[in-house]
Amino acid sequence: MATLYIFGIGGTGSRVIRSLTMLLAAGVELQNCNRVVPIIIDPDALNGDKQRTIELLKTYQRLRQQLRPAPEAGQFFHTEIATLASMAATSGQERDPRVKETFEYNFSGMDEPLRDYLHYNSLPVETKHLVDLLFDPKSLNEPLTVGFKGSPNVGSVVLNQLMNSPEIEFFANGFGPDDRVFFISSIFGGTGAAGFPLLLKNLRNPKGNLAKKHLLNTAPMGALTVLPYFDLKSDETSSIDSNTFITKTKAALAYYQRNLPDLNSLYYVGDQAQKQQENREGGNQQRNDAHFVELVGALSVLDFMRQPAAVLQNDHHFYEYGLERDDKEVRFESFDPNQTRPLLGPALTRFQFFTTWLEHHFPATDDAVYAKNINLKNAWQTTPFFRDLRRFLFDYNSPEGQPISFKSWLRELRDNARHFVPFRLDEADFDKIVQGQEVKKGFFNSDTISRSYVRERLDKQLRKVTEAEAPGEFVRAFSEVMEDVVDAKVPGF
Amino acid sequence: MLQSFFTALYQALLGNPDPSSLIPVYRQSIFPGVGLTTFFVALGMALLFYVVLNRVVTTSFFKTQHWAIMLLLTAVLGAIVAWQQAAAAVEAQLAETGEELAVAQVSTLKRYLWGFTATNTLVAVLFFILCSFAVKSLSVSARTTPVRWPN
Amino acid sequence: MASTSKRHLSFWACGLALLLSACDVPGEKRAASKAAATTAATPKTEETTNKTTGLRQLNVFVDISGGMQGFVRANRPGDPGSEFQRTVTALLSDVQGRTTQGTTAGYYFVKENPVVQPTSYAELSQTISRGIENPAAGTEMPDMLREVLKLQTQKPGTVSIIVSDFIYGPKDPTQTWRVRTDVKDALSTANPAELAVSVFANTSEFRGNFYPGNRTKRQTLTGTKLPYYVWVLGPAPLVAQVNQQLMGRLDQQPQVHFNAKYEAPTYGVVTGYQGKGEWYAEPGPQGGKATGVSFTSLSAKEPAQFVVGFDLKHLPLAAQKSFSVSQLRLEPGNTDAKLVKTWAAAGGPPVPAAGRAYTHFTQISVSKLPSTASRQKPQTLRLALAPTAPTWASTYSTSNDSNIAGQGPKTFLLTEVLAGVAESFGGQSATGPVLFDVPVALRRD
Repeated sequence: MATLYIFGIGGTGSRVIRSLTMLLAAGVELQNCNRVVPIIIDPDALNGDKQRTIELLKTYQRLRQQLRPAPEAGQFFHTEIATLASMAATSGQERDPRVKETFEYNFSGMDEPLRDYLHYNSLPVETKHLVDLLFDPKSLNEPLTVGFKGSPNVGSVVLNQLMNSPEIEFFANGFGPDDRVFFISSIFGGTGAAGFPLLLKNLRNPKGNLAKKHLLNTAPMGALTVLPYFDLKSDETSSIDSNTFITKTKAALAYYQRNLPDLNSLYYVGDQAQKQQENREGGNQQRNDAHFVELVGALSVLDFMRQPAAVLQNDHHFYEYGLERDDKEVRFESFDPNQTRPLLGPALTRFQFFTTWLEHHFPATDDAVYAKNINLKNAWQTTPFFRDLRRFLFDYNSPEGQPISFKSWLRELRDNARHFVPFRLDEADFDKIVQGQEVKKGFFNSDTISRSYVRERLDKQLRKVTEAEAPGEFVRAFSEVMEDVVDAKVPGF
Repeated sequence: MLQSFFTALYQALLGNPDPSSLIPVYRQSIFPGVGLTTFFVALGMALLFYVVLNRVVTTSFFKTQHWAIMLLLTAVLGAIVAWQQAAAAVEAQLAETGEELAVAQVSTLKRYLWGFTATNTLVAVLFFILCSFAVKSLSVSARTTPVRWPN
Repeated sequence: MASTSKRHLSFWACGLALLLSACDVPGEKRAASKAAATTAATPKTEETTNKTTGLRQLNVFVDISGGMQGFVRANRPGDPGSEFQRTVTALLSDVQGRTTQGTTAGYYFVKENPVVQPTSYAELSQTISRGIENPAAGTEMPDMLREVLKLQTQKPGTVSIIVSDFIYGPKDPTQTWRVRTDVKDALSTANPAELAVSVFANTSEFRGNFYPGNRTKRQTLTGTKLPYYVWVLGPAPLVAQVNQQLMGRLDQQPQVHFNAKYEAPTYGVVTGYQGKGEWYAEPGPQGGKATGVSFTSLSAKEPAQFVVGFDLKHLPLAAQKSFSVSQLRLEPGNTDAKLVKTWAAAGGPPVPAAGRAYTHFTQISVSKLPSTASRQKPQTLRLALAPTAPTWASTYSTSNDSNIAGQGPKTFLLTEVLAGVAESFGGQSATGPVLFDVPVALRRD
């Protein structure tokens, strides 16, 4: 059972993982592996992006665990998402109590300033001077919890700590022969830009003391480096200044050029800034709306996994992403009709149809066969699975300001710039949901996707199912029906 | 066989036909005729609902309340069938025998006819429910209407 | 959505129309076809019985002895002819008419020697209308019967009709007590099981010499009415048939039937006619007419009355006339059924359609019925009609006809003659067996 370990570093890592999670939920296929273990590395404990992604991952994980039999390839929630700690069972290790059951790496001692973290006061005076040279006093005096505030120099220091952590030890112990590693970071921030080369270097270190060194040395490893794609509003009081993004990027790229010999694939994604984000230094205020670039970033993971291991090993590949049409409002039509469009279009459309059905059509059909057989009307309100699913799909019961849902993800993608608007959100009519690919009415309305048309298929799929089999059969049935519907009716896929 | 079944059914709910001179007409013609017609009406309605509207075509007419509408309609048809057939048969019988009913008998006759109509409404309901359970498994989109059992 | 729901509506409408059109007729249709079936069935069975018994030969014997001459006088122009002449000529004509319908007819004079002498229709008819020219000396009645029966037994399917005054006076007046035995002996030459005898009496004006039976001296009469008789002999069903088809003009006359067998009449309980209480008529085990009554409730407090109708058209008129409370016997079985009254269709309360098939009705009351009288075990009550005793025979009979002109229409020892006939059928009295005996099944519903 091949596993993909994704190290998502910093806020960007969290956001790309969020998009990736949405794609996996929609059934987009991640080849050559059936499990993803995301490890989010962000010293900013309260980072909003991170919190949201972790919440999303947990929800996904809970949902996925209840799907029995496991969804087949191409069906919703096919790919398993697991925490590092939960890998104990599959890798045959004993559970390490120091490794927490969480998706994030747990930094310790991060509430002290960098000055204390470095034991500045007890350093020899030469070293003190060196430190003063490398870090400005403000960086030294602020607590590390708010992140490295766009300072790679600070990040690199702290991330070194990671290599000696029980988590990395545990990870190395459990690493299998077909497993792969992928790093996601931004090149312009603090944590990621510095952290990812460091991490890579340590994992590949032939002289290091990690277990399964031989496997780690040959395993395909890829990385996504997100180039600047947004501006921040100028804020005199903030330590993050987007005007320095380009400078930092240049510096980092120059560094990468010489110092990433162990990486098999490196993906660069970026875009011209179209919109200014609110300037947040970190904490739970740093919760940026989902952006199209992050979705493209998630595609790099898919692409990396698509490559056979033999092609990747002992070789170096560099990729960039080009949009077929430089639309300000990206639709499925904007994608390459041979690559991204078939990869994303049908899957996201099925999932959007799924969401739309449950939001707009289920209430009117809650005593139809498909619903009644699994007692959906009641389960919808009471069982944890369906409550989670509702949160996952459309913000049911989400805390104010903490929307994790597919729907809000789409909404953010739509409202951000560049806009990603594949769907008319809140549209109940299936015929009109996909932008630019509306279903044309045939003679006698025969070609349209009516509620009855979909319901009949659901009824057939779930005609003999019982409540006990509900979550698995429910997801399987909807996956298949929506696949049928999209394949048969939606033009352009 | 059918005759004694329907006679037993209606008389259990309704008692002997009144006036008694019409008992043979009821037992030989009205009970089995109306009973059978009602059965086929109920079966037809059940097939219409379960097979035609929810298998041959798929309509949004599948819910429990829609089933209840069919039930109500079957009941109304049952009443119409009962009244029409019974009144026609009684009239034909009276014309054939030339029997003239006394005023009191006419009112008992009417009372019995109304009772029969009401009973057949019930019988229609009963038949429709039975037929529903018999044919619901043939349906795609209404196989759990009005209840999931037996699926 | 709106358009789909419209589509539902049209489905509905179709379904409804189908159902409605299918449902309103079957009851009526079934009732109608049933009625047609029953009416068609009855005549069919009658036809078949006619064919199997088959009347093949009709022999007519007319007595032309001297004693008969008074009935058949030569007439003057404008004379209406005697009653005898008119009746017998018409009868002969009817018999001749039958010959075109597959029956052969034989005509005979009854004379002295030989006793029966074949003739033709024309001659016989002429003889009667013109008068007897060479009267025979007189024939012994038993001899005549023997000869007639001899001819009759030669050909199965033969019915004999004898027209005579039937005065039998033994030559030895001391032997008159033998009359009944002589008649019995004469008839016994035929198998009594295959013989029925019907006797029709009539009177006709008599002009001429009357030879009394007691062998006293002859009297000359000038128009006194005297009896003569038409006897019909043959197998019972054929006799009944001949009576029905040829003896119509003697219907109203005094008559007596020996060993007659009649088909049970059509009968049935008539619904909605002079009834009372809680009951309904029920068809017999083979269906057809309602020959049973089912009571939904019956007690002394709630007695019931019902009417049984009979179609007596096929019985002789005399038998029909005997339909009365005194002659109709009710065997009540385990019930307390009683006859209330009887009436003929023409003389009673207006008959409803259900009773149109019947000529006579009787009303029966009942208030008690064993509780075990179920569908499987009904209580059977029987209704039997006994023929009226022919009281006319004693009026028509005399033991001394020496002054016939003063006595009126009488025949010497007629009662003895008829007693002899009765004895030949095993002592059966002239009141004979019942004309019919039918069951009515009573049960509790």
